Amino acid sequence: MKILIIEDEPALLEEIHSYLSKENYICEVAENYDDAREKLQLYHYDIAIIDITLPGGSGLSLIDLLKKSNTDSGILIISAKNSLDDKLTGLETGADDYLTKPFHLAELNARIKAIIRRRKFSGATEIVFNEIRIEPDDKSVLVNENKLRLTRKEYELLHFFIANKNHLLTRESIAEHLWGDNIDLADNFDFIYTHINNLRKKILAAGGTDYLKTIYGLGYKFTDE
Amino acid sequence: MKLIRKLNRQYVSYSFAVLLTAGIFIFFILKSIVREETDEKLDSIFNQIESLIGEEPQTLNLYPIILVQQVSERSNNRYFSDTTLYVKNELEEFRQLVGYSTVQNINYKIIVRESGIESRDLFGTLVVIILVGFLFIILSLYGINKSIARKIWSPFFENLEKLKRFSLQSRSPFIPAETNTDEFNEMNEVLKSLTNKVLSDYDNLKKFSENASHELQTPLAIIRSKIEAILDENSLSLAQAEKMQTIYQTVNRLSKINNGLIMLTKIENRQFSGSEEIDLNDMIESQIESFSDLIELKGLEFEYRCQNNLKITGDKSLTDVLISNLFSNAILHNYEKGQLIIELDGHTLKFLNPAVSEIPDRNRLFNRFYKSGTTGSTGLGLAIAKQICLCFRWDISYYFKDHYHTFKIIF
Repeated sequence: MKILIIEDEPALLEEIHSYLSKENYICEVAENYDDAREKLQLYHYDIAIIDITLPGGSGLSLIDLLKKSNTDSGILIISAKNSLDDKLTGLETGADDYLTKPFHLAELNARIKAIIRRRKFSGATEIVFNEIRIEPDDKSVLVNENKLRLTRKEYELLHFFIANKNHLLTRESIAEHLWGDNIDLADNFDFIYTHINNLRKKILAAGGTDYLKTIYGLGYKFTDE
Repeated sequence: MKLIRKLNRQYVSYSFAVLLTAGIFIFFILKSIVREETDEKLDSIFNQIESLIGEEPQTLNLYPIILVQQVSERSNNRYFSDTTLYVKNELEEFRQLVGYSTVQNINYKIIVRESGIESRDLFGTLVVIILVGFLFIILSLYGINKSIARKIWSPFFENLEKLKRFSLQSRSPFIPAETNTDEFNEMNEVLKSLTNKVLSDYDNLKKFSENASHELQTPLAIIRSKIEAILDENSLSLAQAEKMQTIYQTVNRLSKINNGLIMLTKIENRQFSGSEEIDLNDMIESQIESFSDLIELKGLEFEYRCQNNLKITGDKSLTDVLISNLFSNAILHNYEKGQLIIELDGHTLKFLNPAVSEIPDRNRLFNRFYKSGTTGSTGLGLAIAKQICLCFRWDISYYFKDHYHTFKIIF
């Protein structure tokens, strides 16, 4: 899976690059418009992560370029502009998703996986982690072939964890993933704790292993290491 | 009071005073002229009688106009005087000339009278004349002013209308009405430069606050991603992790405040047109679904009382934010196993949750950065809700009744 990351802020670019590389994607980077344009014309990428505001041009015209060349690349916009207009224009020009800065790297990763799954690049859509299998098409989860009865939020939580397995997920990023960033949960993380506890109990009851580890008391990691 | 009316009122009161003084003068002048004329007439009648008197003095009597009497003494006296006499039982004013004459050694006293014009009549006539004049002046002033207003004041009124319609949001510059009146031209110049200055200042300010907030997003994104990367490495000591956690939470809060401010600026700048039709009931139902886990986790006793469906016009995403702000507010500031009621009745939507006492400082409740407790919230949620309501002319209020916090929106 080849990804082009177009972002003019080197420090941010580096973090995105390192996070996605750990996910075993082949990542290339472009720091300005011309560079990005050249790479998009020369090579084929499965996914392009595009910052809208770039030195030398707008990310929106890069999307146009991609669409005109008829590639099947997935497009994810990242922008500092939390403007609905930008969001709409971005999605209208054919982007798959839109993420506003500042975003959590885990969220970015989950969105990329969702694009990949939707475009069925890798054929199979199911997500497998040891004895746990998620079938996103009908939003069902099987543990040792036993179907789990999860609430919608519990399902989303498990999905988010497995998409970011072996990574620390902070409570903030979980809260934002589950409830969006409009809701000011005001550090009220009891909700997350309860959700995670319920999820853990359901997996254990179905004969699964407890992969959920609490880290420093500030987040969780889904790992079998 | 309208300018024209004010002018009219002034004109009318001044012309009334002028007419009144003129009336008084005319009254006295007329009176003296009439008297002079009467006296002249009496004099000539007297002379005629004097020349006829020798022939048949008795036949010359014509009461009360002419009186000829034989008298013993002789005199050359002649004088005018005013008198009142009963004529047919009615008191009448007369001007008389009394004189003496001697014809063929007989002395006569001759009185000639002319019924005088009574002052009352003269006064009455004058009052009528003044009133008619007054009425005439008012009517013509009304007509004149109307045509003056139409012609001379028209640039003024046109500018006034344009100024009323002038809005910072529309960004269209103020173009004053054309005129060849010097004073209006001067006013136009002043208005033009003033409105242009306001427009550019407003634009600059808007750009600045928007840019400032947007520019902050990228550095915040960098800080956040770096911290997440450090935490992800899992190589920190517990003490370091705790400090890192504090930094992380602070950055998150900063970014939330920044997001809130961007949102507020956008709403204040009226960057949402809001002409979508929104099914409020649908929107609430979907919010209930997305909040259902929070309600359940907090063990709240939840009730949605929907009396009727309500369709409103506004911006969908903003209305969503408004309802979700009030909804999450009522959940977060609730007791464990408390109660939460949403009520839609007519055009009124209410969020109720039980509490011991009223929120202190309720006047500042909808201000930016108002915090009632130490919940660590950004303090922007209700300010945003208020701005959204202002934007679409909805009315939002808070009150405390029967141990319930109540937030009420009237659409």
